Amino acid sequence: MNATLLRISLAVGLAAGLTACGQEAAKTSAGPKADQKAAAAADNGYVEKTFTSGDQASWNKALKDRAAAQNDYVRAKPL
Amino acid sequence: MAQMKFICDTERCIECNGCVTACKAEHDVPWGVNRRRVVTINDGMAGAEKSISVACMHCSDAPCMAVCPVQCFYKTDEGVVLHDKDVCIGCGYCSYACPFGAPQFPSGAAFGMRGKMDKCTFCAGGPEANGSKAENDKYGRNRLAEGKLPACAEMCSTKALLAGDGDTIADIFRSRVTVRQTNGKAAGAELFGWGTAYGKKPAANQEKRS
Repeated sequence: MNATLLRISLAVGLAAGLTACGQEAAKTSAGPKADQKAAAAADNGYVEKTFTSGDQASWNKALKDRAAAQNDYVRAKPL
Repeated sequence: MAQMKFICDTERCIECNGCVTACKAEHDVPWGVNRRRVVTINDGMAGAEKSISVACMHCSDAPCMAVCPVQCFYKTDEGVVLHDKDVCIGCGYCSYACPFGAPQFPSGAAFGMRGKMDKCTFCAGGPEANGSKAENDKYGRNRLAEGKLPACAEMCSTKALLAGDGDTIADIFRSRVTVRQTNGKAAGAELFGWGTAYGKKPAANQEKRS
């Protein structure tokens, strides 16, 4: 009688213990929201006319030209 | 695809704090938060005093992204490290991980509680629609989506602070180092932060080539 009771309690304990193994891991967050591409022009009146909104190639070129313009050796011609 | 990076030329920085002011004004950054600041070493020592403008370097392998427990960070196609303030829980792990002290926390909340993390966005805003009011309120102005470079670099009077495509600004810096070497001046090739953030130094590459 005692042995049967022990087996039953063991089986119940094991089943209860293993149910946690089937649970999905708790998710802390869904991560950041999806961002727009930088080439999508800002919705305001301050956008430079050097690129076409949504055109990645023209935006790349516009930003590259602007970065190159920081070179004062090129901007200031030697005397 | 352009990979956006910062360079601060310590031979040119005059500690005017124009970059800090430009950033503060452009993004309405609140009191107590400095997305960019100027650090000076050897203050007052003739010939040894150097200043550098420091902010988020938008690292290639950003440690802040690695430690964030809620994955609020993301990287744009241009290599700009941004974060979503709606996901940030203000735990501060990123500030411990960052070698540049970039993550900032507004401390206006009750009981000295930390608010949402704030940092330099390379003037690229956040995940909200480009140029929207929501984006402007949370992250400041999105100059990249206006076809412009970060305000700090564009306002720099001596062009010590360079921002933009990594190859382009590395070429500019390299040409400066070469000119200084030719003129027998301090070349200033030891570019602070570049190796830590991007894994290599453009000036070191130049030495290997020559």
